[in-house]
Amino acid sequence: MSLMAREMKASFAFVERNFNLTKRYWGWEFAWLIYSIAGALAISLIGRSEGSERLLLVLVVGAIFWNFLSLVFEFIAETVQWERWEGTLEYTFMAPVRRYAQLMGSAIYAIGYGLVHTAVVLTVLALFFQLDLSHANFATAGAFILLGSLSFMGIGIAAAILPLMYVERGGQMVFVIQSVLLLVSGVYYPISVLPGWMQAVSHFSPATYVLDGVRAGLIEGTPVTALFGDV
Amino acid sequence: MTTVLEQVNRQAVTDLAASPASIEGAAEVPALLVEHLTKRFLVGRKRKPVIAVNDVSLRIRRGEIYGILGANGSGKSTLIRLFSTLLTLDSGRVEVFGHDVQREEMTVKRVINRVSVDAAFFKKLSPHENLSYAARLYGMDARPAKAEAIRILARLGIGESRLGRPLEQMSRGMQQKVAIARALLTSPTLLLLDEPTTGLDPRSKLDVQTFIEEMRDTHDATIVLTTWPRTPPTVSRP
Ligand SMILES: Nc1ncnc2c1ncn2[C@@H]1O[C@H](COP(=O)(O)OP(=O)(O)OP(=O)(O)O)[C@@H](O)[C@H]1O
Ligand SMILES: [Mg+2]
Repeated sequence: MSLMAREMKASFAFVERNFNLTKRYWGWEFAWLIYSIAGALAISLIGRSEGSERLLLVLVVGAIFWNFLSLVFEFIAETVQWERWEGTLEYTFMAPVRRYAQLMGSAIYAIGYGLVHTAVVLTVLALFFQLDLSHANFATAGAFILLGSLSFMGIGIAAAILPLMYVERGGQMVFVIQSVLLLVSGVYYPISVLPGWMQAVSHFSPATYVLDGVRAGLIEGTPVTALFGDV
Repeated sequence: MTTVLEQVNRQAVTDLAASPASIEGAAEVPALLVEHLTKRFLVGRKRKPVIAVNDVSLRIRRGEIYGILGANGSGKSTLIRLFSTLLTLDSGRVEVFGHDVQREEMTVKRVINRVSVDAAFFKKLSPHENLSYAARLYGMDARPAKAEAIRILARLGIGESRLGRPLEQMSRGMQQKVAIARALLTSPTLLLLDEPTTGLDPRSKLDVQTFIEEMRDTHDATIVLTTWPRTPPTVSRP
């Protein structure tokens, strides 16, 4: 078997294992879904209470987006912790699998899982608020979601390296990075309200640009061509 | 603390050197070659060194079943972990079929497997799911691996009907048998067993013992284990 095929197969071991775990822990998955929906609704309702349809949309986009990103991050941060808890860490580390195969496997599953989960939350929110997307420019939103998925895959994989490299502290590091991203990326507010130095940090977060793009497309109907600079 | 362990190993090494069989065997690549292996752990805030393995040397030939004996805390498990690439060595050398465990880690990983005292599984997953994970990690195809797992577990007295339910519903002894099946599944040529039959009833111990001896005969496997069931641990040769 060629080396590449071998590594792909090994990556699949992690995808299949995680899928089986999701299936066996379905009760928890369901609970998580309820939690995510309730959280996204609660935040979005602030927009409704202010009577601003625009604020509502800003918050919905933020909540959906954050749901996805935090799921991917948590999944990745916990991969090593989970194995330690189950006691399988040594078994996995003893197997003839390179770290990057493990990394690809965890990241691929985390992203797939995040997408499905987030799609459900999005559907519930759209139905609940009867979202008016008549002005929306879906090409722009779509382009940024695509771009966003790619950059998140990048962040996801980068984050997945930490727990594998630093078995002891990696999980904590990912948790901290995730928290900082929430603060600086303008998930629920424009970054202009942040102090100057934080704004500077926010330029390093790809999330900032993705959020800007998706919002411009969905809310203002800006065509994708007008945002070329952002891309 | 390490004295008992060292004695056993020294004796084994000298034993080998004395017998004519091993002089012949010296030309062939040993299954496991350990030279002056030392491992320290740094514990606590002051990073006080604890010597877990102290200057151990041994040479195990292909097809041998080699027992390692020692008191609690004498470093048996640490030694097995060192052989299975889970720990870095402080000094000395370990070679598996002529491959250095540190420089040729992947090659070594492919030919070894280990069963430890604690059956390390995803407890909510079924034996099938756990074994499928193991098979894929070792680059095997899922379907033949499944058939093989069913065959091995049947030999150890676990029926196919038990293999679809979460592993946590099995008794400890049964879990340990699944752990043994998982290791045998990948056909390791060096099988490392750290108290593999702890928790098994006498009959099951015998089942496992017979099966492992069969493994050695049919698969040309070499076996290193800590504590041999029932009989006092000894160095045995085929
Ligand atoms: N990860 C670790 N960190 C610090 N010290 C360790 C670690 N693992 C083992 N030790 C120490 O190394 C020594 C040997 O431990 P080991 O587990 O190898 O003994 P053992 O012979 O397997 O004992 P038992 O018969 O109880 O299984 C002990 O003093 C133990 O405290
Ligand atoms: Mg031990």
